[in-house]
Amino acid sequence: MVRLVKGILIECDPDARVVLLDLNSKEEGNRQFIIEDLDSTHLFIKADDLGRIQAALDKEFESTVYEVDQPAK
Amino acid sequence: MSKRSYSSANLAEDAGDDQGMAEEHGYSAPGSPDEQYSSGGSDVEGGLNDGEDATGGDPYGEDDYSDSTGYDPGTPKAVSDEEVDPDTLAGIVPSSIIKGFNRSAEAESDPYDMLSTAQRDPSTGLFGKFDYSFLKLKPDHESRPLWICPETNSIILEAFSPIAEQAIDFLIAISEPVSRPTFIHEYKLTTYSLYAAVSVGLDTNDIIEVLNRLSKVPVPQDVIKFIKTCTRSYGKVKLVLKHNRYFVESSHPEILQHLLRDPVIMKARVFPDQDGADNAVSKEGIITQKSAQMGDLNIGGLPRPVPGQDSEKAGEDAAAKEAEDAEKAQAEGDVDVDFGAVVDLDKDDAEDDDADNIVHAFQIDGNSVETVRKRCNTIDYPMLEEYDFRNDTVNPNLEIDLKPATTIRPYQEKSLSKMFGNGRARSGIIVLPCGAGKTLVGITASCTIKKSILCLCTSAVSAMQWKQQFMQWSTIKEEQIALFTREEKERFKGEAGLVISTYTMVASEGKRSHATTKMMEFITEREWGMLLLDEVHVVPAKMFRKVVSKIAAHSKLGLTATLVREDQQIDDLNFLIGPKLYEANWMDLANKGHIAKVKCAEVWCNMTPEFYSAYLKEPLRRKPLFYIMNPNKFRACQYLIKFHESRGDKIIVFIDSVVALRRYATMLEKPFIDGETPQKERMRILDQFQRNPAVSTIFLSKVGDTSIDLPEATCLIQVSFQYGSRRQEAQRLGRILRAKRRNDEGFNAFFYSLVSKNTYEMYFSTKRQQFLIDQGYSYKVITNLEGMDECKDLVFDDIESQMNLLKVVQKESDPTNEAMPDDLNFNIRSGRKDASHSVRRIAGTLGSMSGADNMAYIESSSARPAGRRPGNADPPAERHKLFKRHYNSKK
Repeated sequence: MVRLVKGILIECDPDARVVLLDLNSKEEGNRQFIIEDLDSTHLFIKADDLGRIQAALDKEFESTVYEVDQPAK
Repeated sequence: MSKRSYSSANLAEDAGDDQGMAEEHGYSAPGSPDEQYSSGGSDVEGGLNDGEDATGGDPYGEDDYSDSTGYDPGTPKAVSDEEVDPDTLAGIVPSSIIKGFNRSAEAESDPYDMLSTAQRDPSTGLFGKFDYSFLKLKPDHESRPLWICPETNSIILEAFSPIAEQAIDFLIAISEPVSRPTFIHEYKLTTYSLYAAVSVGLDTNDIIEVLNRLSKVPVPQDVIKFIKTCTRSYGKVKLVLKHNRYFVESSHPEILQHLLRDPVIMKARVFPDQDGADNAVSKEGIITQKSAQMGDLNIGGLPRPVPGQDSEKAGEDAAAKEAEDAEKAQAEGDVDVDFGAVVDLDKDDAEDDDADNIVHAFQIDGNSVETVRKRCNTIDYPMLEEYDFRNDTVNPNLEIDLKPATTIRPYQEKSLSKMFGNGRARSGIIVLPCGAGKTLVGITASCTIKKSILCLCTSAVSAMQWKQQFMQWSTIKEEQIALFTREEKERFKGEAGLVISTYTMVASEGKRSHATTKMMEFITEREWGMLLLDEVHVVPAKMFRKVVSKIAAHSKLGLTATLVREDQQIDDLNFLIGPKLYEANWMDLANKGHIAKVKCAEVWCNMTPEFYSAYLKEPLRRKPLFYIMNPNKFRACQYLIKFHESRGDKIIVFIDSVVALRRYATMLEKPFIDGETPQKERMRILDQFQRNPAVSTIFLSKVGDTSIDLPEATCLIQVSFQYGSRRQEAQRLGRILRAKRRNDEGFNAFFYSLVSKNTYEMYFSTKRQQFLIDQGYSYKVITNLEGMDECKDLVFDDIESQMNLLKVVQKESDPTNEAMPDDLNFNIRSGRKDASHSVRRIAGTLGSMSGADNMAYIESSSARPAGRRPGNADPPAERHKLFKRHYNSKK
């Protein structure tokens, strides 16, 4: 039987790829979103998951940003 | 409230000056003064407040003019009534202000009006509550350098103003510097800073008056109120240590009565024996006596009334300074002389008061001094500590003077003049950048007091260095200096002397060796003229409280470069030592060549995919090892070393993690020093670094953060660091600030911080930089080191060696990186657990647990008061009621 999955090719920097691979490995089998790990800057992923992983990626990278304190309010 | 007060506050201080200013800025004395002033506000604002005049609103401007002076005939003033009228006549002060005052008198009754939003310009709504467009600019605002913001008590200074330098001197005295980049500085009035201002002899009216004179806008009501509340009761009560007993002294007996009614203080009180005919003891036990007199010893505003060579020098200096000031003032035709005069005048007054007054005192128990002091703070009568060392005949004098060749830099003198401003020694903290000669300040203070000195520093190494410095700069004889460290327990010969020790030696309790116990007795039995506290930012912790209360010291001088901690315990320093007396401006000192100019750069190193993947999988506490050992970081480090060695730089590489330190150093074949390096070996390596041209790079763990003096170093590479500690960053920068070559043409020292991209290191790195950024430094971000790709034979250039490294790292456990110190608040926003709570478990060698590995910082974290663990429901820091109130009212 043929299964059809709509996929998207994404290009990202190596760090993002690693984060995505890591996220992917933590997901349950059918929630895994990476279809094919192409090379160090390209991944082929399920189209439906795009929004979700974008959010996850943002969260991961934002956690390493220190926001300078606002003046006392 | 009258026109008189208006003019005295603002424009009339010096008719000539104001005219000068006015002409300069094209503000001509109004032909029709009436119109000029009454419409002044809206003119300046560009019509923002149109329609307001009709309502007679305008409450802000004028009513502040009147109130801010707080003028009453009884207060000594620089300006008398006669001087006022000519100004009005000359048309400098528009006569319309009389009307203004009448109007404002009504407006004053409505305290909420100043907050009303109705007057705001709609387009400034973006600024939210920081929209201050309702503040009225003074007509001659261009020549005044300050903006004062209501509610936040912030003061913004235009540092490019011609009178900025004088304004800075004043602001440093009354407020805390928040941020000082090149052109615009921010200061903040705080309870503590005002307390410090009072303790150096400024009084409420002077502060408000000078502020008002410098400010572009009238000083806001709530700021005035704040200043008044904070300064009202300060400085009325003094804590005096006499004959090894503590007395609470005041010239106002009613205040003492008031204090004695307080249960806490009452308990601490001791009834003295009748001791001597000159002291009358009343039935309440209040001793009345002539106050300790300065007499002729008090030489005007001279900073250091030291006899002999020193005092002559001081005299010359001060005279020279005054002349310089006067010249400058004339050149600029500005207001500085005035407020300088105000300050001086006030000092004189204070002295005069002392001279006339009888002092009342009662004795308190030596053990409960700390309690009483805190209690006094709580009930709004904070105690000042002063030591009248010149009239202390009980304690023997110490023969110590500065050597004739020793010269003191202007800022060092300025800081000391705050300490000895009225001929007595005040306790407090002096903040100078690393490498700006804190030691010399300490030594000069010792030479001024000339009594037994106890000097505490952070480690045995720096104790040695203090000793050397004392020998180098002062005439003290070697047998008068005693070292008290783990290795050496000496005593000085003669009656008075100098003991140099470490905090841990003095503070630790429990079973000690016989020699140590004897030495401790020797120390605690004596009365010390001064307690000199080096690197005082490590003090805020329970064990250092003990030091301070255990040792009977007449005065305390704290020295530090970085009065920042990630916890709230800095506030406690105000109780333990005293207010901050002086804080130098880093950029200013760099521009004048006292410290080196530094270029700071943050180098972003990409993580290799393998390391990044491993980093993501590891638990939080093991993550650091991976971003530190990142092969790209290795390479960047190696490249930078090569690059700077070829330029002839001497390089220090800082690596906190001991595991990483050893690996880096062995890999790159450089000598290293960590906590386990024996003393002799350390000295040998440091010596080689300084003399041997073949050794131009050394690796240091955090033992090198403070107190290692390497003036040869010109380049600093930071590979790993202790989380977000702003203090550590500044301390490390300090290692290259004293570079010998700093005055060479175009010389720059370099400070690189290597950061692994997309890891928490980035977060910490930014946080760490904040202190230095506030001091005016800027960091350049380097994402790609130019020339690194071409550079051959860098380590880890193939995937195989990188993988090997990864395997090693994964096996490694690094005891030094286990726990995040509690004062480094690690709050990552994405709902992550506060790391300082989750990583409490510590497994390490006995040596590292007891602080052998990382002596510089373990002190601050281990000495946290017991039972106050973060993560309990307790508030992060206890605040005293007084400060709680101010704290809350700020919000």
